[in-house]
Amino acid sequence: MLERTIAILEEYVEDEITEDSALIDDLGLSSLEVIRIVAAFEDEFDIEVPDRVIPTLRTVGDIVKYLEENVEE
Amino acid sequence: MKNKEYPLYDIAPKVSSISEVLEIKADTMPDKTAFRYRKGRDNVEEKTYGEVYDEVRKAASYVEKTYGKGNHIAIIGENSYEWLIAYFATVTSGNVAVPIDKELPADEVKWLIEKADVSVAFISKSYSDLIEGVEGLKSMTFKKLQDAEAEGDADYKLAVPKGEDPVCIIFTSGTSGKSKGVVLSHSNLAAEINGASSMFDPEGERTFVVLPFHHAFGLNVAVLMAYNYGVSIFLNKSLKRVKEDMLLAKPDIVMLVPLFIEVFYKQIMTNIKKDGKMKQLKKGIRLSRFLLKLGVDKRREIFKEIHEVFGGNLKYIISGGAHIDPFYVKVFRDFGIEILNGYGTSECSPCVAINRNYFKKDGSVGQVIPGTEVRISSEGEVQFKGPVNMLGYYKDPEVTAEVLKDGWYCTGDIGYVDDDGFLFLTGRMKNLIILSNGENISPEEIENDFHVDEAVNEVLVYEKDNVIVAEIFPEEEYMGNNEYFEELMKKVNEGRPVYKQVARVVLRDTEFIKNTSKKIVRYKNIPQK
Repeated sequence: MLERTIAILEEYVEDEITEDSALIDDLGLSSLEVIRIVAAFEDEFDIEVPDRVIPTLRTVGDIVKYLEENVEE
Repeated sequence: MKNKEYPLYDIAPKVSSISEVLEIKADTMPDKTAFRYRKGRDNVEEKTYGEVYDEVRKAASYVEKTYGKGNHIAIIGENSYEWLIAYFATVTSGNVAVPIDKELPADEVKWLIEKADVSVAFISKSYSDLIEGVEGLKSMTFKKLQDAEAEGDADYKLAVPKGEDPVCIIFTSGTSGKSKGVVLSHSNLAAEINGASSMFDPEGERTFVVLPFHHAFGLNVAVLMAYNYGVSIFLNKSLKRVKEDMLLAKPDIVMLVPLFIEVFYKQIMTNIKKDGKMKQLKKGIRLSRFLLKLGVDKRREIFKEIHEVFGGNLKYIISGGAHIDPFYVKVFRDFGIEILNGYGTSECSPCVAINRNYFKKDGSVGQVIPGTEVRISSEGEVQFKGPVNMLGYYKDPEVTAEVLKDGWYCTGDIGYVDDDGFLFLTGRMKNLIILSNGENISPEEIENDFHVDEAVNEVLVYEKDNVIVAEIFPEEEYMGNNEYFEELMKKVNEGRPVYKQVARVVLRDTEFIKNTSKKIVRYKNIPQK
């Protein structure tokens, strides 16, 4: 899941993405871009991420954990 | 048309209340589409001006019958048609609307409800836990209010308010750490709608709303002013679907805060680089500038792909809520999209100045709307006087007296007015952090949360690169303990909306610079941009 997550993030992040990377501080994303990325994960995994969950997704690891808990493989 | 002074527009009816706006539209264009919004993933629902009026009458009659008049009614939820019906039903039944940010943590929502003497709440089901356990509060979900319309009176006469009656209480971040409730009257709203719409012509039929309704800019300008123009308004319910909704909406005009403009620009440039079309873009800009000098405008054809990102019809972006870098104004103009920068503050309903369709100056926030005066104090502060000025802060006469002096609203912004009446802003007197998404953040509020921790000796919160930074001078035994402060940052961020979260902690090994009374001098300690 981590590899798939990083692959999607690489589409959006403009120089290393690891599990500990903070989306805003380390990867330079704005809060709006984080929201757009969540939409990309929704499309990729066919899930609905409630708007209220988005503020809790601060690192790459947070996204991986959320996907592992909510995506049926 | 040359860039020079020209008469005010007279394209929207002059109104005195929201009730009147709804009545006039239902009377003059009942079958025209008022709102469009996504229903489920793929369907678009439409409501005509006539349908909106009918729904509001039934909902307002139900609200009056059930709760009476004079209540303060909180409205909490994501942007939606149902949110707006709850708002309209509240303000046209003799009640006062209190829009509250759905992203706030529950304890803050409860604090605002108490502070504003709210007795009833209309709330989206997804956020109903925010008001659980609030004593004495009657509440109803948007869905139940909609169902209750069946019990409403279809012939209900919407309330005709007195001008000075309050219509809403909008919360805004204060410099002293706690939100203040800005009380606006029916006259304030009418002056805003009438004044701003005489400055600007949408020159189209479709608009797109993405700004949150609990903000004065998102509600009073993006929705109410647009409604009075009689255009079709597409409501974006989730920021996750802005791109797709924009393609569905095909707007002629949108109201945005600068952050959206920056993100759109970044998205456009990323695509151009990815497709290897950078050279083509530069060539296109040179060609279109040359043609413009000859009086030929081919920008929409030359930059067709860029226009398609916005649905293909976009002519104007009205930008407000925060400072916009003139770079974006110039680059979007090259593409054939005009960004009209304005100035607003919740305390002035909110828009008090705007650049006009054909009379504008880059770097300026425009000319003041009719009926309002602007002056610059001896300290350089921008001050406004006019019918858009708020009644005051709710139950806060002392703070009100600090900003409303002899009818002049003191903005805390520093600026000047040129010979053509254009207002330019050059800085701020207050500590408030204004992010490019238009959100105001009180640094003291966040500093207080850090201060309660034993490891923090001194702390200063400021904005850098559009994120919030907390700089800390630790107690001696915690010097250099980065891990501890990373954990503390997470603790402070818990439950906060994204825009209020601290993104970075910086540790320092010397005290902050202070004045003679040992107070930290903010501007001397904050890294200059």
